[in-house]
Amino acid sequence: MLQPDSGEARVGPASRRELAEAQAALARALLEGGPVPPGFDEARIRAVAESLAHKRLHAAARAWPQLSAALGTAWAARFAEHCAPRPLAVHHGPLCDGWWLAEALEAEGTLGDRPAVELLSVRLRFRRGDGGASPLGGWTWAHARTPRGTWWALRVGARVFTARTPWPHARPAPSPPPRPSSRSR
Amino acid sequence: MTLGLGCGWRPALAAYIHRRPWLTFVEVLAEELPAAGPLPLPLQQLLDRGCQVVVHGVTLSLGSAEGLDVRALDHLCRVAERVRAPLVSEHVAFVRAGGLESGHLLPLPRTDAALEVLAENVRAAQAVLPVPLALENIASPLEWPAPQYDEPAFLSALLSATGTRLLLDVSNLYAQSVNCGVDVETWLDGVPLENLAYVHAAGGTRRGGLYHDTHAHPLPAPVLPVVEALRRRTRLPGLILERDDRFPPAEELDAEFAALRAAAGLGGGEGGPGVAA
Repeated sequence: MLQPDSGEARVGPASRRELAEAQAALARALLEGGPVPPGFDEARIRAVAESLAHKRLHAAARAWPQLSAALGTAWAARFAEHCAPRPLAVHHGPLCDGWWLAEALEAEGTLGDRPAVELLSVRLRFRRGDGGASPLGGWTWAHARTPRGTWWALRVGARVFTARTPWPHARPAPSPPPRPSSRSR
Repeated sequence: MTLGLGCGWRPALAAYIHRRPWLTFVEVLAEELPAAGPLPLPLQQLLDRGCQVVVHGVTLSLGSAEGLDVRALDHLCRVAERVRAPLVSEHVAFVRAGGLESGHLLPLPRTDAALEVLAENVRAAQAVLPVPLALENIASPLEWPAPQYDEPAFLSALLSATGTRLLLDVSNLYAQSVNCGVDVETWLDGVPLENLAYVHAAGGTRRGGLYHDTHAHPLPAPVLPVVEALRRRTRLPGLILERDDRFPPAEELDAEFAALRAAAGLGGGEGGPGVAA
């Protein structure tokens, strides 16, 4: 945090601290369901809290198009389960929200191929830290697990090489498509 | 400085903007552009053809009493340099406090303490920004208790204390008139329009008794009289239409530009909506 030069500071530390506390109380009321600060209209606090939650859900869906499309009608419920109870820390945003959810699905073994590749792509390009997601340069490798196998990727600069194990042809196909020219016929 | 008629640049609108040379400037979101590495190709092409690019920030949190965020400020500076922006803009708002990120612009109390915090943060930003800074009025149905200023007086004091310019969002002003009973004419009479840098307009919708400035719905008709009321008082240096989501067919955007251009009195340009092609 950048503090102004002492020569320019005109706000007393006490009133700055008081304002910081009032801003934090409003943020808690809007984002954590904290008490409505004195003097605010309760219905409006609720309305704004709802619209912030809606914006957050929508922003995460836009940042994770494959994940949200794969979850379809379950997207909002899964988001409510894994992300909503976890207010965004400073500098965290939609990328982190979808990341948590994708990892939860990966851990429970329900991450589809397309969201897995999306997760892979995010893992290749970003690092998560206290300050949210920050872009990665140089080279990285990452993997993402799905019920059907593991996606692997190597990124060198802007180039990405992807592979999946087990190799698709090595898997027993669950329902082999009809092959008119097959010798078995 | 004349900017003319412009569009908020979004990847989904890149092709639309590219085919409309009568859009004489665009506004990019600082947070959506990289500080290094290649710029999105369509944006680079606009720069190459001499289109002016203004940089708009949403995460600087100029009203934060906890202090200015160095990371967001540094990013804003780098992006402004990369696109050779004639100016950058931000909001009279805070977006984070107490370790929480709101993801949106939250209103400030209109008090001396908030004014001084804002002015200090703005001066700190101006000290490192390579170009002039314009500040935008936000829309919020929330009102802090015990204001010491009305909004025009608060903005005037801020602009005069810091030498910043005004980015006037007519849709936010319309939202304040619906949600908080602000009188548009009085409001416009109270702000220093001689410092007007440019104007924002965007769509929104009514939900649950409140008007929401969503940037994802059509431009509501009652915003146009606000533009006209502004035009009666001053020449508009530039006007940006912002659309962030639910992108409509090109004809719908063309019609919104035509209506805005007529209301704002932004003539000239070659071809374009509402002008015989």
